[in-house]
Amino acid sequence: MSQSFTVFVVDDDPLVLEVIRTILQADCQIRTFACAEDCLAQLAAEKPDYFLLDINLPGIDGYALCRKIKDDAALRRTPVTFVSSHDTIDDRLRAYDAGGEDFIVKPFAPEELLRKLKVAQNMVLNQRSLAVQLKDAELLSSLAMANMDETGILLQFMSRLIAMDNATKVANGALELMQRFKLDGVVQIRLGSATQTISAAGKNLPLEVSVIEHVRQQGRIFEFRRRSVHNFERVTLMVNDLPLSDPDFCGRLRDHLSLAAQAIDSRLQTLQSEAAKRLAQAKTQSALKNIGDAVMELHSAQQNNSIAGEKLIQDLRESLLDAFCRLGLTDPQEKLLQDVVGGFTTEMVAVLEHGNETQRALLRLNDQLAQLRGH
Amino acid sequence: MNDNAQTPGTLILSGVQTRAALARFAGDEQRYRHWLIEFISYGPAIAGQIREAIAHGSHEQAINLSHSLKGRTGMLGMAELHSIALSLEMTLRNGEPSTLWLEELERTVDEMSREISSVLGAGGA
Repeated sequence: MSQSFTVFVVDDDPLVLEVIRTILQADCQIRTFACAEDCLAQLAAEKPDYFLLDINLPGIDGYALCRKIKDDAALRRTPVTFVSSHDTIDDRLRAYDAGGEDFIVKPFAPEELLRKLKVAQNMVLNQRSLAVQLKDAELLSSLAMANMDETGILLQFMSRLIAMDNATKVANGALELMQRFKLDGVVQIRLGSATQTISAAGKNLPLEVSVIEHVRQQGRIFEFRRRSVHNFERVTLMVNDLPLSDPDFCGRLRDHLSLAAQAIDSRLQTLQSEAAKRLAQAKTQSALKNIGDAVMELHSAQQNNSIAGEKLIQDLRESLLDAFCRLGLTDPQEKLLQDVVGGFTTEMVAVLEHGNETQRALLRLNDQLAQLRGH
Repeated sequence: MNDNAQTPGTLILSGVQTRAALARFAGDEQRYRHWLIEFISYGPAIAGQIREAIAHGSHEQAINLSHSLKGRTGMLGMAELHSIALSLEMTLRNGEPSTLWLEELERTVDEMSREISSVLGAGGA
């Protein structure tokens, strides 16, 4: 996609423009602008795939330019990364509020900028896929057709939640719930060592992850400006656009989302414990199989011993008969030797019979192990 | 690790992380030298503009200029100047007295300009 991927870079420092061009020009087409106004003028003629925006600009600043981009239906899905030496949580929140997807701090290393470009290219590829368009269409039609009240939406979510059997399904379900309440938001699921953050804009967008990491420390329910955050151990739901003009609806939303977040947390806990159980079962199965294999090895060794023992007895008898012929023994002498050997053979057969009994016991044990393994 | 542990043929400038900065120009030393030489005029000029803006009570203008200087010095690898510009910007944003940081900035900008002139020559060759 590299050379067909166009990046608009806006920065009032010509040095920064030159550096960005130098670093990225092998991987994409670059257009540079010293101010937002020049960029907006060019947008009338050409739509890029990605924006890199400085925040401090003469005239229209980077935040305002980003809002204009996101208000344009033809550009609203185009990723925006802010490139600035501002780096406080307030700056990041303002960048996020303006609709930005990512943030990079000056001075940056070339590798970091290239990584941001790669993330944006992947994002654009995903957006272009038919699946995304189909999902949008499905969502729109479901919104149009569904004539449910808020509680109905919540109940429907709860009933579907029970059937969600992995963290990704739960995250997508929670995001869809917010969308059905006509809210823009972000969901973060933390299950074991895996964390995933999703929103309508994409998955694990660095700026969203950074904001969630900040707000998840702020208590169970946290509200600021138009945002509302619901934190549980394994889930954070963040609404970006509370309808503040309708305080009653805001109050109901708070209750609905708290309930949903709590249910999601419980579901995730169940998934976690089910996964732990599956792991323990797999270990038990593996141990039973190992024991079964060892039992069969013992059985095989025992069987070999038995065969070898029988052969030894047979060889002894044949050797004895041969000896009688060669030695020219008297009848009493032969009888004495036959009695001695006969007694020994009888004892050996008893030992071998005992070995056979051990073999049968090992086979029975193996059958029981197979039953335990469910075979 | 000392960033100024140079490979043969690269620049050594006191107080400048030249290797990291040169990487931003994809190792094009000629372009990096160009911007360093440009700093000889840019640095004192912007420091003068900041002083003037403060003197005329143009608070926002002084903040924006400090911010620009911070960005430029960071990209050029001038770590100390970057840090002083950041302190001046923060001082101005917080409405605190900025005279000491401004004087420190002017002094360091002058030193940097002299260092660049000395190492790269008056014409920068």
